[in-house]
Amino acid sequence: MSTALQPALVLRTRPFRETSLLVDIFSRDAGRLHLIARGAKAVRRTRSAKSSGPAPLQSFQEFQMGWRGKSDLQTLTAAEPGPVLLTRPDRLVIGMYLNELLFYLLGEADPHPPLYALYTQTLAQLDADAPLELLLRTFELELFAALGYAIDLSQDLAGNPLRQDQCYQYAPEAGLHPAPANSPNALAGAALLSLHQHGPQDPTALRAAKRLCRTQLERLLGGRTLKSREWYRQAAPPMRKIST
Amino acid sequence: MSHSPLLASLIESLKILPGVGPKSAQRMALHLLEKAPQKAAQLATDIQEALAGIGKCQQCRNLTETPLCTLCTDPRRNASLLCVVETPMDVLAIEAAGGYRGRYFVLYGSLSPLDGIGPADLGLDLLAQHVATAEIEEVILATNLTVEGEATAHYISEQLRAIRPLKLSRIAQGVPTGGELEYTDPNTLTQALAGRKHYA
Ligand SMILES: [Zn+2]
Repeated sequence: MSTALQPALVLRTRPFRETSLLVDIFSRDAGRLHLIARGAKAVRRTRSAKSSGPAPLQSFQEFQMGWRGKSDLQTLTAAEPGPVLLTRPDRLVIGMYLNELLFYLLGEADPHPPLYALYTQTLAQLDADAPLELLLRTFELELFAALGYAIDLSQDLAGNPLRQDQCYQYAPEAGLHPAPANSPNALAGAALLSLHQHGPQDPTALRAAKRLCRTQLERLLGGRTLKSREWYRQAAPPMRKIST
Repeated sequence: MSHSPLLASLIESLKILPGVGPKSAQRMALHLLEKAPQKAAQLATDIQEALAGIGKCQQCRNLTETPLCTLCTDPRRNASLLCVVETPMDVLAIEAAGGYRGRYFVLYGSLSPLDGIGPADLGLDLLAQHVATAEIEEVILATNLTVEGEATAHYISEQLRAIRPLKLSRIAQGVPTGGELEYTDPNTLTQALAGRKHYA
């Protein structure tokens, strides 16, 4: 029995045997899945002038997908191409960063429909020149929440509401606790509150948010470094102005 | 039936060839051993010599038996034009199509974080060095029209732009020769319209 078609995006494809592909997808209703697409590589090679054929399976394009099987390696049975959400060449690396996060952090077959919605929306906004930092921090914070590692930006460890004029430190296992302004990685309360309320972000707030997310990511990734971020850091000066 | 250790090892090795599964690998192994032992010995020698004698061109990374490949040393090739491709197969395809008289640079892949491939794996230092010192006027970014290929083309263009002023171009994409619009997929059609050329 095949599942009904449902929206999904490709996180990664790898050649498998002569003509097939192993495909990791993030689907709206079933989460991250590992599928085999039989004959998909052959399709890519022989697509000719006349046959429209199945569209190549690639990232950042929404497909309506179906699959069947109950082992850990199910078979892709349909992939009807839908809209391409991200094409801007300068933003592809950011999209790849999101894919790396989803690939490494989402459990298999663990559905997260709201995160899926945010993912597609974020890709579309990347394509539309939205300011990068806030987009990424919003995505990361939502991802943490979906994984059960939400950062509580409303109160400190003791349960007291955050204060505009207080600085905080973030302890990954526990949460935010008040700290002197000159302590390492001190985060301004005002910045955290502004982030919490999705308010307008000034550069200080964004820097604080980045430090916060970085700390949490390092913990969740357990020492794994993300290639897209490495690559981004090595990029030429014009690209270095923005950062993941 | 289980194979003897040496035969099993040979079969395993043959399976790395494209299109060769366990059945064909077994047939090939038995054929080499039974029917053509001398030719099999020659094959073994050829593989060893090719492995030892063929390397990457110091300038363009294409496969060659000499420090610089024939394309890089051929004085009739246009040295001001450099075409960046993903694989040696791409060089062969462009050469077979004819019409291009410049030189090449082979990346051996494209940037793909989830496959662990970053800039250091694509010889981009060598490319940058080459572009900085050689009399290249135009670099054609001919990576695949995939997400990874596009990202790679963009990355290289940013890197090269930072070195010196340079004409950078990207291979065109659109409706293939003999193609009918009705059968062209929406993405290709969109790209074809966006990348339309002046009609003289
Ligand atoms: Zn060469």
